[in-house]
Amino acid sequence: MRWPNPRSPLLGNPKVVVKADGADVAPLSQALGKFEFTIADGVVRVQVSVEFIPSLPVFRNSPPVDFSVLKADQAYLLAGTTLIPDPLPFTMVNGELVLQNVHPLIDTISTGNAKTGLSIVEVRTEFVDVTEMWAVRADADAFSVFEAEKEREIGFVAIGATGSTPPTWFASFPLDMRPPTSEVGTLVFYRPSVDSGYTQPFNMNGFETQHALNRYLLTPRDSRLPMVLNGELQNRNPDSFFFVAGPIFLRASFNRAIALSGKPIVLLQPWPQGGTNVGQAATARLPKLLKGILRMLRGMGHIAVNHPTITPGRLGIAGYSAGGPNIYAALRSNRALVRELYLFDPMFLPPAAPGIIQWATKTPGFRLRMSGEVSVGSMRAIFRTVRSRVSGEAAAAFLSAVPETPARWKTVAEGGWPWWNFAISFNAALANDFNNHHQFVLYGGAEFDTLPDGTVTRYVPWMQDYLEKSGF
Amino acid sequence: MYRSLTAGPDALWICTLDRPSAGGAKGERGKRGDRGSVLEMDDAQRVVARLVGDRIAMGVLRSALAAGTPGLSFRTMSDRDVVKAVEREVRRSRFSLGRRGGGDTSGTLSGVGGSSGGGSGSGGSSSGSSSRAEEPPTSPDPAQASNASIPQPQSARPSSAVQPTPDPAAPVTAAPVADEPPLSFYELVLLDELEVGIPGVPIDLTTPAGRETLTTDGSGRVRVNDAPPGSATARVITGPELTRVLEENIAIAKRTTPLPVADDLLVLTPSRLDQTILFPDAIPQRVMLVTRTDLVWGSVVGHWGTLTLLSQETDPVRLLADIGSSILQLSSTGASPSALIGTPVTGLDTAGGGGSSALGFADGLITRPSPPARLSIDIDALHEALFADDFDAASALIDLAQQGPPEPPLPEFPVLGDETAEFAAQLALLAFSGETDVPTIPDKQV
Repeated sequence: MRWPNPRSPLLGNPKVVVKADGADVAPLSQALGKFEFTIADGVVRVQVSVEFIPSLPVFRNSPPVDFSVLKADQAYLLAGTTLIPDPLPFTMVNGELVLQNVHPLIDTISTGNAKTGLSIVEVRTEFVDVTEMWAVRADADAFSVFEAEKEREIGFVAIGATGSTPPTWFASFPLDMRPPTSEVGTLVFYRPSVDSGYTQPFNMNGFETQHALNRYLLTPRDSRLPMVLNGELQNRNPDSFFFVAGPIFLRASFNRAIALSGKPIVLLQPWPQGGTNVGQAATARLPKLLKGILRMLRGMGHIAVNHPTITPGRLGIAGYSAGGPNIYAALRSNRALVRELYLFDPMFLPPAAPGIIQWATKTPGFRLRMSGEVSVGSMRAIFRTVRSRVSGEAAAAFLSAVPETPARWKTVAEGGWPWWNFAISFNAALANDFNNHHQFVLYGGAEFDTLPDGTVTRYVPWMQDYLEKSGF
Repeated sequence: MYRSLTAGPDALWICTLDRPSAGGAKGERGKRGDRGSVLEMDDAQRVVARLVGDRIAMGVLRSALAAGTPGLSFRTMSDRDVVKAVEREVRRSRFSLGRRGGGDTSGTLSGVGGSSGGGSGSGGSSSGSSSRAEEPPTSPDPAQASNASIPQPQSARPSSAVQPTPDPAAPVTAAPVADEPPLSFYELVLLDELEVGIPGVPIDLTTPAGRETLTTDGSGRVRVNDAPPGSATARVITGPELTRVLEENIAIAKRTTPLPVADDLLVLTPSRLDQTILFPDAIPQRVMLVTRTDLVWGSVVGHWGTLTLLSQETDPVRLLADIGSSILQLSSTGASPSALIGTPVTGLDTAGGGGSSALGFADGLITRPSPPARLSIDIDALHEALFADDFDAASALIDLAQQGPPEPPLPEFPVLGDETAEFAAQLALLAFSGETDVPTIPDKQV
């Protein structure tokens, strides 16, 4: 049994157990990332299991704590000199009986002839589940808010990379995801830098940034409703309809968008190592990284347990503001694989625009969605150019750019979006602030209804709109 | 050197000969040692040396002893007793031992009968298709002998056409010396690992009657009848013909029980076939050819059964797909072919799935035109490494094989040209209506 990246601190303290016909087999040898066993002649069944329980300090200078980050097991039948994965096609995953006889996180190559055999059991440890660790390390208040206000139907997993960059990813997905096929779509979102000045404090090392996660994943809350934080009733800002970190940093409702769109996708956020550096997540290695992440999520029973085998399906990339360069780099390196592209007012768009145009015109079934203010001119130019090259229905169905006209930033009476009208009603001074526009093209949307008393009854943020119209 | 060993009741006793040392056996004086070790060479022992080989029972003695020596057990006999028994039984069997010069020290036996392949004097009928060599060698091919796992008989038997001259000085015992020894047969059976004969394999067989090339019959057998007793050498002729036969045999199941161990059985792999096999007359020599190696891939990434075997149909590879697992059946042919497994061609990628196949352009659209190799492995090398218990080598071969889909060789998009120009034109047009980008927002603001 062996596994890659054994020197990663996340793969410390491996517990490897091999049983032959129910009896423990002592390892013949042990080395870093490699255990060897000898299976005696006459054995009928072999079972292997492995669990990684690294002992790591939660905070600087704090004593180490054990966390289980990966667990897998596999049963075999011995056929002569080869190990055959147990053909029994059912197994229990998170309390559910599922069709699966090969563990998603274990690859087995077994070879043998009439004389002898060799079996290599390789544990896929490229990515591990560090959610348990994250729950301890994350900002306690922010994580408490997240736990209290998250969409119950959306799962959240913090992912640790053992041999690639960035070292941390965050995944959001429908908890009951049962994709119709074994292909699972992914949407990679490139966020702006993490060391910026949100009103709420968070550290810049990329691992205590739950506030920044909340801003994208959570849904605006009616500030008139009570809110409990760490078990205590909190006061709300009576001037702000939504609970927000600051006047304009409204929550972007990504988790809600996943839930309401009904799309069986995994939203992945490669977390910048510093600034906007997402390492290999913006390179041609992205598909391989996604494949490993999906395997880990499936192997840990988080997604698509209705399929014994999952493969990366439709790929979408998205990003906001200063995440723009990462979007462009990821698209440039993976143009042939990307099918969906959501641009939330990305910066530095003009140099990348010709490539985006070419990608859209040469990609069957593409979806190009753009909302912007900082880059509104470039977006409109991209929109017009693509529309001139893509025939009729495809252009209408798969291509959009908002605002369609500058009038959208005005009141409803002047042709503005109702939601925008509602937002600026709390602070008229923000109406012409392009920073406020810049935020709205992330969290806002075209569809928005309220009751006469101001109670919001329906709203569809851009992300939800894009997902609902997506090919996922 | 050689040594005598006791054996089971069927074999009566076994002489085994260690791997040869330079100089051979003739005239060599072995060490005196413990029971069952080296005998002093005398004529009788030279006969033994010629008649027996590594793990080969003494057929010439078996029949004689089994027939006429009730109660005789060599299990507890000393070497000297064994020698005496050999002498006695050789006489009983009317085996004429011509007295020879050199290392004869005992003087108890005289004359050596038979032939070492000196011509076709005694003839001999053979079974299986035969192509006798025009000029049979008078001794085993030195080149073959150099590859042999056991030494060639050093004492050249005089041609059966030439009667041995009795040595008047020799104290010939009462056993009558026959004019001719009884004719015998030589048989070799080539078996697969399930112990089923492999037909159609050419075998170069050298008996005292001469050298000829025979082809194994439907039972995997080649046989030469009516040949003078003694020993024979055989060599399976490797090459395209053998490869063809083995390719036709790829569908056999892999042996799942331990390999048998028997004195008349030699187990080889195709890559080890190029050696000389020495065996006595009257006892069929079995040669088992182990060819099958299974390669099982258990992974959610995909099963081989869902993929396509890209090797040529004649390659010694089969895919066996069953529920829950897939087994790649590799069959060694000695030709060192590689198994090549890939994803099936899916055609135009109009569904828009991400996919993992190689991508390309066709008709201006992204396509998946060709299946990439997912596994390529040297069958013979892997088979041989396992046979040799060389797990490091086997592991390295597996590591070298591509086990997963390769990184998709993404095509380069065409050089940007029109897109740049039209985008710039649209941008300029929008500028007139005031739809322009705004100054970049400091990152801390977002």
